[in-house]
Amino acid sequence: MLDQQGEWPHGVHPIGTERKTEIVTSLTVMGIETSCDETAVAIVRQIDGAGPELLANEVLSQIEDHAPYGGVVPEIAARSHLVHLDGLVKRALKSADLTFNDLDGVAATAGPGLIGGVIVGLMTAKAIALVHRLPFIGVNHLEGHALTTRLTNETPFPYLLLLVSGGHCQLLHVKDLGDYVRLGSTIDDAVGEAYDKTAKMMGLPYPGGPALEMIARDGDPTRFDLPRPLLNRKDCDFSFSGLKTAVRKHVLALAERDELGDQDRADIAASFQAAVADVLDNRVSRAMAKTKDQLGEKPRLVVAGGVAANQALRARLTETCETNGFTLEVPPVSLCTDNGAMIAWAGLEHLAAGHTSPMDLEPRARWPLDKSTTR
Amino acid sequence: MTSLLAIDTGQAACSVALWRDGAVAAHRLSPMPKGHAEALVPMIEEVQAEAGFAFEDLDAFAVTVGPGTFTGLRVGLATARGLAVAAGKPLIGVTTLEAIAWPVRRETKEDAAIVATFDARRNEAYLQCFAASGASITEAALVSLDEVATHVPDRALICVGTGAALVRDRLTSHVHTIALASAAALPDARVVAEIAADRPTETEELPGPLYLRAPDAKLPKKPLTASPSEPS
Repeated sequence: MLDQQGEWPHGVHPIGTERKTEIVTSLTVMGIETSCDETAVAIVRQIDGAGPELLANEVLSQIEDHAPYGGVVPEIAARSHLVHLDGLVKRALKSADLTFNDLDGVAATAGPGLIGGVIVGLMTAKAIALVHRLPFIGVNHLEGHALTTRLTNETPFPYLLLLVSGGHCQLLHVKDLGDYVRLGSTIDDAVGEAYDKTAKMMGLPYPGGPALEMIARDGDPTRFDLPRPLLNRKDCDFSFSGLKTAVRKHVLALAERDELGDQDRADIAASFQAAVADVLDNRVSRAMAKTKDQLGEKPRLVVAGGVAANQALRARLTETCETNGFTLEVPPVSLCTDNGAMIAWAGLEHLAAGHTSPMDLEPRARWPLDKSTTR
Repeated sequence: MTSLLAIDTGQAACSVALWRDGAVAAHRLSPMPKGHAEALVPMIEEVQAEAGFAFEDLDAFAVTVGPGTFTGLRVGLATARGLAVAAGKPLIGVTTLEAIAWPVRRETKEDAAIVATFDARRNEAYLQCFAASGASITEAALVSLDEVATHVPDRALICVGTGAALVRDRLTSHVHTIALASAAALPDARVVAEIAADRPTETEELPGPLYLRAPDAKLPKKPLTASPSEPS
């Protein structure tokens, strides 16, 4: 890795000793994520010739702080990130048994997300980078989700990505680091958002998505005939608000007659989930048809984001892959929901490619992935 | 304290100062309603280049903790707490109201009180009163402009800050003189550094924000339907 002048590339330094003619290089990066309701810090290391290692992964969920409000309150989230983040930074170093001196870079989510929280993580990362003269990398949160599979499954480029979470729902052609083409996205609600809102209508506790999946297991998915929005459209866009409205009508009709029992809730949940599965299957199949010939010998579908934790949807996407000759790759559930590891890893990938961010990098509430690399 | 780095982003300005051996060694200040997250770290780098210090040689950091804009406070505190943790140095918190009151001592008669105040919008002001010596008389508080008279002492006053004229105009029945200070209406890291230099730093705990105003968050209305029965 030595360049012609015998200088080490920025941020890359040798560890260990020479093995024959090969020199082992290593990168260790801290990642900070504060763009929604999870305060998270992780440390990732990659040594040349070996797989990446997750050395620390601290996540502090704020679910309890937001539960009384039935959703994430941005100001409450921002206040919580500020008082907890520096403690998590210390904890991550301790659990990895490292000091700041062992780091080669500091990455933080620079957007998109709730701006108050993004600011807290971004400024903390800049401060650490400043004191220890480390490269600073501002990471797109969506890119973190998009690249996690390369940390956990060492998935090679290119691949098709379905990003489904409480705030996002899109299909991307991941061509290379920093080269993403958006094939489609939701024109209204994200999948996780539709789950949470539907669950809320039925009086399920916050966060509603997992609760809805749970009761759907005992429900009849054919009892309610719900719409499948945008099915068979030629693009790869999604829509879930019509589905949500249809569910609302059924819920209200039952509630008015005072007939909304537990079995009804289960049947509604199962019917709703079946509709979502049909929509995902249809839209993903469409994206597969569009990209398959560009995805190499072994085309892959990667699913990322919190909704990837849903077993029913995952089973359906496994079928979608089989039908279309794709392989399904999904990171572990703990790294599908928001976490610092995905930010550390995206930072590490950019650092290895020689990308860093300026110290005047602005936090961004909106930041579409297909127009992004680190600035 | 021999040397410390102070920052302020709590109001409509961004400033950084290095304090060394009893004086300000380098300083930057820019008025700005927003953009602190972009401006602050490059400003610290400029001060560092000018004063030539290493973070490991500092004795402490100092920051304004509020009251101020929520975003501004978070920019300053997240940066300052990050610096303190990264460098393993203490962090001293100074309120924005202390920071604007401190320079007013020089223009205040002994028997007068300093009223430091920021316009908090919504017919409210952040307000704290100090003696001519600079010692605080009241706690920092968020007060309704209709009730400011009950929050100031019964003596001659000198008002400072973005809320100074607002507060004076509401003190129509105050029997003593009310002056407007000529000192700056916004905090300045130079003053923050000077105040912090005399503060003890033995505490491990990092200072937190002084918002004085609760988050805007409403509890939800009655749910659409009742909750499902508890599993038996």
